[in-house]
Amino acid sequence: MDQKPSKLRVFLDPLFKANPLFVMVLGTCPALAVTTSFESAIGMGILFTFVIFFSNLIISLLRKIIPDEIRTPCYIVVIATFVTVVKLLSSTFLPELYSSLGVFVSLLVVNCIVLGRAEAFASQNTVVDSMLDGLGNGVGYTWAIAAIALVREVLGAGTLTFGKVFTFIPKVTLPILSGYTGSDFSLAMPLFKSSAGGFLVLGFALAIIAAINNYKDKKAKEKARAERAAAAKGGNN
Amino acid sequence: MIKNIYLRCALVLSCICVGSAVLIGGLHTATDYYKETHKSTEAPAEIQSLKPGATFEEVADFSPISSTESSTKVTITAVYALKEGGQTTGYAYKLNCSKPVKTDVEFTVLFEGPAQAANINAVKPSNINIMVGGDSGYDGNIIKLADGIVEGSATANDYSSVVSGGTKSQKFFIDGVQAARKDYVARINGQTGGPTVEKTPIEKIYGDLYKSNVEDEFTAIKGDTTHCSYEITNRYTVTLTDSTVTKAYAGTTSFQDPEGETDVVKIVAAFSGDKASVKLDGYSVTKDISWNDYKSYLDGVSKGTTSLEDENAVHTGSTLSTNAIRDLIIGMRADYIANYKTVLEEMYGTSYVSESVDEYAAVKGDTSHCSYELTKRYSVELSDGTTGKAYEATTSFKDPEGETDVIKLIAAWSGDAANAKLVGYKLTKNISWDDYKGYISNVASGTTSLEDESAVHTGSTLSTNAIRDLLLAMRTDYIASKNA
Repeated sequence: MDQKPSKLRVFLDPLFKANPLFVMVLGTCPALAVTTSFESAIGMGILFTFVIFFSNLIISLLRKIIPDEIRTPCYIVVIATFVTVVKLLSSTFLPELYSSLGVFVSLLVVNCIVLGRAEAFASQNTVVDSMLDGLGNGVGYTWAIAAIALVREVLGAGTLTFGKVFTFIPKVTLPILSGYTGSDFSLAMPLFKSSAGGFLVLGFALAIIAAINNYKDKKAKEKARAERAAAAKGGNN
Repeated sequence: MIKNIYLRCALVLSCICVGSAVLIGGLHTATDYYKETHKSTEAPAEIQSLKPGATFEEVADFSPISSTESSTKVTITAVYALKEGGQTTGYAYKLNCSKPVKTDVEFTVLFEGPAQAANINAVKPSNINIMVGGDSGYDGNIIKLADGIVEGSATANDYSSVVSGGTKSQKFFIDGVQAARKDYVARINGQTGGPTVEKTPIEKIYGDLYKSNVEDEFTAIKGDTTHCSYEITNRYTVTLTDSTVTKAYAGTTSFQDPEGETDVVKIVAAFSGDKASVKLDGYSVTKDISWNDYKSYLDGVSKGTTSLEDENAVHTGSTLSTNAIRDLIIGMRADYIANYKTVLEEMYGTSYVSESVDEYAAVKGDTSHCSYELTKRYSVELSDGTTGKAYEATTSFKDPEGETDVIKLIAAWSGDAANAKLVGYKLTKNISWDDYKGYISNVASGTTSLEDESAVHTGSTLSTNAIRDLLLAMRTDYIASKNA
């Protein structure tokens, strides 16, 4: 019999064990498009988290009212509503972020993670669990795209810029592989700012995550085998 | 609970949609209100970044103005006043500098403090922000030049600070700084619009021209008619943005008005077309009289609705002045016709006798550098009894940015088959990076051989290679025509 996961697990699983990008390999299109800049990726993550959190909340609230026959259009209307909300808010309060993300804000309406969590989780679970699931997936997706963006911006531009998208913080450009005052030194590789660079970084990230998961599985199996052997030995005695 | 599933579906979906509409509508109103009440008073980033934290106010009554400078056409697209303590202490300019082709230089520049026209070369910008640095790959040089001008280690007074790599863009940029500086000197001293922003009479006629040069060798023409005394003082060669060349004349006509006083009208008029179809492109009056109905007459001549030959057309309400103007314009037209030369006539000079178009099938070809086409061929009878050939041709090639550049020209050849010689050329469609012109001139003067492959390294190797292949194809065709 399936045991219902704890609220903590509902929140934590999407962060690492069932990360939507690195483990489920979902939402890769915006993950490649908006990860040329670390700030843009963080911004996208925040908007994504807002949408998935409130969509899960509303869909879970309405789950007993929405007839099965029209659940998909209902989910899309709910998600589209919150996407419109984030568009209005971001274009008003963070216009630089809004213009840097472009069409990918609108495309959240058909984001497979948001739709997937609505269909697979929020429509079948309590409001609190759905909110935690939405928050977990949002944060999990955010850190994943932020990590990719960090690597791409540093390798591609040679610098790390803050304050360009979030204009309420002072604009700072940190020289890392290039950008040192009075020096032409640069190890920046513009390839990483291109789509091909995005695929490369995502590919390496997926490989590393897979290797870690394989290692953990192997360790868990070895541990289980050792426990079974110990139990058998104890029984024989 | 509603049992009918269709009704229930419709109701639920409707409720969700209405809820959504209410939420979005409310938020929309709220954000609109917020935007309206929190409108930014800051200037655009490219202006504000010239002096962060300062107050810039856009000069409201300013319209974009263009002027033709040494290398480029400069357009001041916006002007902002720098306000400190309620006083205007400087001006920031947004400029676009370009030839009538694709290489643009866009930048903003800030000038501060008092400035006098007498010391214009000492007026130094306090900051420059390069937005578009011209030729791709060389924008670093233009930024260094801008920094140098601000710091004082480089000068915008001439081209002496231009360094190799993107030289044209740097010249465009210096032209822009000079144009903005001239406007600044005028504007900061209370004049709206500096001396360079006033359009010349020829600019008023053509609106958008590349350049006009006064012809030094022109000798003033004086004439007396029954209606007036006139003097044509200057002749200009005008190059339009589409490479068309026209002529403009500045002239004065004086005549007795009905009260017996001498009235003087000064006018600049421009002509185009060949000898058989000379056209008055337009006119600009530089000294006028109060009774100036003659303008409607000139408008009619420009539009082609009135003929200069029609003596009755002068009865405009100010017949005396119209007659005087007509005589002046006829004098200008006579000089235009007398000095008109066809393109080939100019190339062959005194050797030219006559020209005719050959029956000719276009020749196309592809080389490793370009695709070319010889579209039209002329036979030109020369005074030594030989026949030269001239070609209208096109060559297209990929530039370093992967875009296809096209050059069109007319080139003239003479000599026998063993000594085919390029006599001259005229570009009808050019590109911005046109160092190949020096190569063609050297080929025409005989200092460079078409056989010498290394001579193409001119600074614009791609276009020079394309031009060389085109000239080789022309020469082959020319030699074939001689041997035929």
